Amino acid sequence: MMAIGFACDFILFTIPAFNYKYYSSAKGIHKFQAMYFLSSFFNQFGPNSVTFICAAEVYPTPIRATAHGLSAAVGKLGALTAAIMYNYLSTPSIFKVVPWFGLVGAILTMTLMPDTTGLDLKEQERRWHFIREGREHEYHGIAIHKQHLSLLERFQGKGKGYDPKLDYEQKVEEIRGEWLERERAKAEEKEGGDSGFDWEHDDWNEDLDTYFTRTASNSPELEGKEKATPIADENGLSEKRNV
Amino acid sequence: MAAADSVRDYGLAVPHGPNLTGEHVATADIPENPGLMTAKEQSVLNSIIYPPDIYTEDGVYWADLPIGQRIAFVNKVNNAEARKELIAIGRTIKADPLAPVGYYLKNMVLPGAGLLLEGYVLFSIGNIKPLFQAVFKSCWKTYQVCDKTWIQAVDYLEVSGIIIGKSNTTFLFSRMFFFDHLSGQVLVGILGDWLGRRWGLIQDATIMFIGLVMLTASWGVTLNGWVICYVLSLLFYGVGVGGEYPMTATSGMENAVGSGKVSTSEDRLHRGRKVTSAFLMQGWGQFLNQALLILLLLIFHHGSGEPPYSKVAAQWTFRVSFAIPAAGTLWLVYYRTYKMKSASKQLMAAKKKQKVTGYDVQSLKLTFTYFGPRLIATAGTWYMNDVFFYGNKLFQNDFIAVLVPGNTSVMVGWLYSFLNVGVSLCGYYLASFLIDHKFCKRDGHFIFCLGNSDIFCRWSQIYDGDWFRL
Repeated sequence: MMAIGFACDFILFTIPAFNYKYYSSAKGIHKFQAMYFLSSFFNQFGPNSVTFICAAEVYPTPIRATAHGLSAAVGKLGALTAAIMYNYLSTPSIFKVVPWFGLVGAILTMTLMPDTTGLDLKEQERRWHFIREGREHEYHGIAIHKQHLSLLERFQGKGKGYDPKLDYEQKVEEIRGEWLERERAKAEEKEGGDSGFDWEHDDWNEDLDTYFTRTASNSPELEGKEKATPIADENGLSEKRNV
Repeated sequence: MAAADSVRDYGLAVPHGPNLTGEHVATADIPENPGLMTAKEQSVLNSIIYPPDIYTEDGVYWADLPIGQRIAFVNKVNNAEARKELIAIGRTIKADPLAPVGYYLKNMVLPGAGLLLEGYVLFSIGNIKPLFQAVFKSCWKTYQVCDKTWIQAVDYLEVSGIIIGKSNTTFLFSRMFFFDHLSGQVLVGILGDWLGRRWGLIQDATIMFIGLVMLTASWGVTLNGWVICYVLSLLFYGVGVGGEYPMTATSGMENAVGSGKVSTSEDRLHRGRKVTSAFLMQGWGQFLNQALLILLLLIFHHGSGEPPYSKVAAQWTFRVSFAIPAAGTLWLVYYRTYKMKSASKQLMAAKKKQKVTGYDVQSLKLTFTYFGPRLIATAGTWYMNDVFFYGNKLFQNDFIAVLVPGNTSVMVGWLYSFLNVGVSLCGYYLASFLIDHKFCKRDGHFIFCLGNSDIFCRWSQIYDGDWFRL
């Protein structure tokens, strides 16, 4: 949408630029008018809406507001450029200068902008978690699927680590982590403590308990005891992780 | 919880009937190798790891499918989701015909209220200029009694204010997050960020309110003095506007989405719509502004839109048109202070879970290292876009002069501008509906989108047929 929008803006401003006389005459004026409105339309339909959301969604949560603010501030420099430029250029020359900004915009979009449509923020945060811990190469999930990387990032080989099978295994272990946390919270509350666990938003599927209980440790007699011995579970996990 | 407890926990097992469903824990089939999953466990795990809106039943990611199947899959998911939503809407309408209106107001209009007011005022500046040019000709048009630089500064300073506002917000966040990181305590982090986010929202609204009061009351002993006063008020107002953008985008995105949840299909399928539907309130702001200006001029100019306009009529039109959003912004201050006490509660819950205590210098550095090109992309495209977006607007008056040569009526320009806003609103809404489409947003497979834009080609033919001649 963004690239099309930019491209359309480019075209809709270029056409009148090179035949300004015709389009500003009585004969061409309605075509001109249509193009002007269409350029407004495509501007909204494309870049204006998309820049707003992309500047937020392609970044991890902790710095999202900053990145968005920074992008928007640079954006406003564009508005300032327009304001100054329009005060110094004649109307026909504006039509010759402005379209190129649209073209550059379209090129930037196609080369540097990742498409994160349909990729949830949680998955992106998951990737960021790996990056933060300096284990970028251990991340194999869909956030580095070539669909969700920019052309440049693909070229840099950032998508090489994508491996659905490894990712599945990792995710099972992450869910195990959630399970452990939940069990620990349960145990703590059984003893009268306040675990601070958010039960209200808990949507754990209890069918999984059997699997994680069984595989928490290799000793089968742990079954039925795991609530009282959360530490054993933790050891079980670290064992599992080391494998 | 019950299912987790094996009946064996409670002593001797009481005899019971056959395990027909196979789900009875006490007699559940435990595979010989305990490391393997049962079919049931496997299916539950798969339902979490492979959400059906982005994975096939076999656990293949949609983007890994060959192109034909990919299109079929995406269409299937979209159609199913659309049907689900329509049925849900139908059901609520049956129960209460006005319920969707309330839903829309609460979930789309309210998050975008700041942008609505901001859009109104921002575009008012460009819209009202021709009226000033017509009424205070010696000042705004021929620069006999006013300094040309100050008149031009109306355009510059408004934008400069916005930039200052944005930097201010960025700084505000950094400071708050930095404090949070230094303290290193999750609880303090939650409080600090909670206060920070909330404070940011209130601060923006307050600055905008004061700015509007200044604009409404702007006065000067000479015309030039008034212009200077007007410009400085605008600068002040712009500072508040700058903060609105990140607030709307991030809080709209994060509040709407429970990042802490296991499945976040709402986020995947509708994040874009959620954010853009708040954002498009900016378009409604422009729309309302233009409508109000037309009405106000008609009211104060004895029901006629034709020149010459009296100074009194111009004064009333411009002051009332700024007083109205001032009242709205005051309400926004109230709302943010008393009704949005936990603006980023959900975000904090998610952060706590991820063990991210906030915004540290390392995180910022990492962003530059890993997402530097993304920053260039988002900032660069925004820059290019705004050349068009604001340029289009600032330049509209000149443009209409080309369209309707020899025109002296302010009304003609306003009606064109009104139409233009109407057209862009269509763009806003279409963007909002299509933005979550997997083939649509950025580039690449845009054939689908072009299919849609076929409508607009026909539209332009209508234009040629003078349907819209004013």
